[in-house]
Amino acid sequence: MPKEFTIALAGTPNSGKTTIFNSITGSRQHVGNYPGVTVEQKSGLKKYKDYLIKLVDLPGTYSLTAYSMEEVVARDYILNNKPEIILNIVDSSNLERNLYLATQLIELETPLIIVFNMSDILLKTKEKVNIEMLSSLFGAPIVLTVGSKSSGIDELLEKTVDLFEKKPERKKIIINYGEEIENEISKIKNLLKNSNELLCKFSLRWLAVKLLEQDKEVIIYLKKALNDKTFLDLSKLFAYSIDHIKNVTGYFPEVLIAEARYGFIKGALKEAIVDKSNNETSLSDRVDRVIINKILGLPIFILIMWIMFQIVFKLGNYPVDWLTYGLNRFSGFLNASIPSSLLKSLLLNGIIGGVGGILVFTPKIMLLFIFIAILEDSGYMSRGAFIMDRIMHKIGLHGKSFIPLVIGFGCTIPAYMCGRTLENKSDRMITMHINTFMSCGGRLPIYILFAGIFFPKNAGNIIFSIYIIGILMAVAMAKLLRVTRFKGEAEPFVMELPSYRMPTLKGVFIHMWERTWQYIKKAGTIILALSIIMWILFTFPMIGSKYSQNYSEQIKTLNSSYYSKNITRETFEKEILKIENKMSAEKIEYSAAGRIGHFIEPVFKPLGFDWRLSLASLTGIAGKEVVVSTMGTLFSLTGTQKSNTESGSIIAEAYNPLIGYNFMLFTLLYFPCIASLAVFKKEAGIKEMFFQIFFTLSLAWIVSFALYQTGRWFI
Amino acid sequence: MLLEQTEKNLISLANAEINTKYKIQKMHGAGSFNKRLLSLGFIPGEVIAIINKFGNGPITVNVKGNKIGLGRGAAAVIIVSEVM
Repeated sequence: MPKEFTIALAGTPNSGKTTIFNSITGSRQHVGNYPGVTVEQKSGLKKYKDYLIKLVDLPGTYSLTAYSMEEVVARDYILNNKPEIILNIVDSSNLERNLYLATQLIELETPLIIVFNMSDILLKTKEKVNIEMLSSLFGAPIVLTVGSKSSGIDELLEKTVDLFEKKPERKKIIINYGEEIENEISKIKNLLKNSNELLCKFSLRWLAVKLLEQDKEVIIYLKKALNDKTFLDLSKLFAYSIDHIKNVTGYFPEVLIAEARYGFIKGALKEAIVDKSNNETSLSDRVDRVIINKILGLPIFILIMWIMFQIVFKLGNYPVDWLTYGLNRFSGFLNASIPSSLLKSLLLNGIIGGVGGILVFTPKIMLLFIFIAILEDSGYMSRGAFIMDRIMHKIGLHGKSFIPLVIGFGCTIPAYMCGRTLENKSDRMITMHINTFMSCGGRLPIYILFAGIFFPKNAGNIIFSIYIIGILMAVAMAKLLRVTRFKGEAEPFVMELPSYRMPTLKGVFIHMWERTWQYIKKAGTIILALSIIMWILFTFPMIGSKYSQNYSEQIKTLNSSYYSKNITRETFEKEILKIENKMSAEKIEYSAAGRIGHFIEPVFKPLGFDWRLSLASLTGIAGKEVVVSTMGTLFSLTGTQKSNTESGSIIAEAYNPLIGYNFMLFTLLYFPCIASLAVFKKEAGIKEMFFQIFFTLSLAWIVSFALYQTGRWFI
Repeated sequence: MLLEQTEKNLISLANAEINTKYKIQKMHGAGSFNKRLLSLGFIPGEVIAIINKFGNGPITVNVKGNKIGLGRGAAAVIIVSEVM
């Protein structure tokens, strides 16, 4: 039996934590969520000698205050799950700032190993580094690694197992916060010592420090854990302590505490590291002189975005076409080889039509996520946020909002999840609410279909105009939401601009795959289920022989007239097609779906939509891609003899360009899909989710209503 | 504490010049925002320099060897004095 234990990886963003995690676990990873929140929890298993090690990748944090959701999650994991060992991954090319987290991990009193990642840069740029001394100053073993080359990993595992087995008696390191703070800490500790309700999982010193830092989560925790009287005494005491410290020193305790931590680090580094005396500007700085130059910054940014979209939408077309072709061949093959039955119809029209239709877009989604991963891993993404901050602030948003908004062009689901990087709740809510107007990849097939049918000569421009309207709508609605529901200024922008780094192939691939997988999972679960439901609605109740005309008789007549050679084969097939069309239209009209379409038609009538377009909009709730397959079912021929030009001309005859455009606009504006709503609820709560539904549906209706009613006068 | 309380020459970082060294005197942002600044190394007494100004908008600052992007509003809450 191997011995099992858990280690947690902590570290600041950009410390190379994920690279180390990947080097240790390889592909044996599992992505889940931390309980209650959608912050991702990545975990993996590693067999090493006689040990089975579970690794948990904590979210990247600068600190263990309760500033952001990530910080709370990381801290709670350490406190509640009690991993046997914590690995603090540190970017050793910048020790001073990176060790700040270590000073806080020391206080949690969990066995700690500090991992000096990117140690090659450290050794190259410093004259002398005394690791042994640093290790004893921090009271934790230090291991040198280079994540991008996977070097030092074995030594790291060896040290980990050592620490787990021997639990060497290291001297406990206590950072001294200065007389004023230390006095108050001991007062608070004394008060807490006398209450026995506290779980022993916290060190009293840690609790006292957190109270002085006015940590909301800790205060809430203590309020629950202590009896009323003790808590009252405690609140009085620490409120007094904070006041006292403020009066004596002129600073809030949290400032002094941060200062002491940095002082501790500075002192340790001074003792153990001898600097080389060089003052040359780093490559990163020189690159930044161009990239975030005040004149060139924005054009370069726009150029990069433009290249991204060109590659995703132009290059991405080829694999999508191949997949579509393959899928058509596959369903053609199935159609020919399975005898007609309900099951066949479910398989072909329901499942392959629904799920397959979405899966063929995977290459585009993958390309987009590859791009986003490269932008993130290279360090450009934070520059983009930086450059965009001024513009974003003008519309009441935060520079960081721009990242989820860009991802929204691919798929809104990861975009919502990315909204977490915004620490301020109002900023986050507004960004999420308007993210839906960034036209997602799922809507594109609708535009391609409708623009192709109604505006064959300018399809490209028409589609572009829809994207632009989406962006303008996002700007307008952001402003509106800021002055109505989410008042207050956007949070000031502060973000680290990490040194540029060459993204690794493995890193980019893993990032891309994690997000793509979410998209595929959505197709395989929610969309599969909804496709089946949709198929049922479209199939039952069956019309049987209750057609208004005797179609089979008509076909028979045609057949006989063909044999009497009165008409050409072409006309004959066209005639047959027409009859079959009428048949299938009647079949659908008779089905539950058709009845629903007729039932909701009055709501959509003022927008120019008939029952079929109303029904198509409704099915778009399952996923916007589904609209296209619904249109296919509604307008095309039976079975798989679908021919796009045929159904295209039928659609063109049934409506006019105004209605066509209006329909695109409507699908652009209402919420992306049911799966995205599920994520919205997780991220923002059920109330905000219902607001999103109501808000986008009513906006879509009002805008389409206005366009149709105005446009009618001109045509 | 660490700082000499010279009330003269206090300016906000938003009005500071490029390529000049400044010492942070105080920060008057909201509590939670101050905490973020602290954890990024913006601490009273710390000497920082503006690396780049992006027009009238955001700036990049060197703090403890890290490059941090600050929006106009964020820079405005950091009060500094020039290091002579």
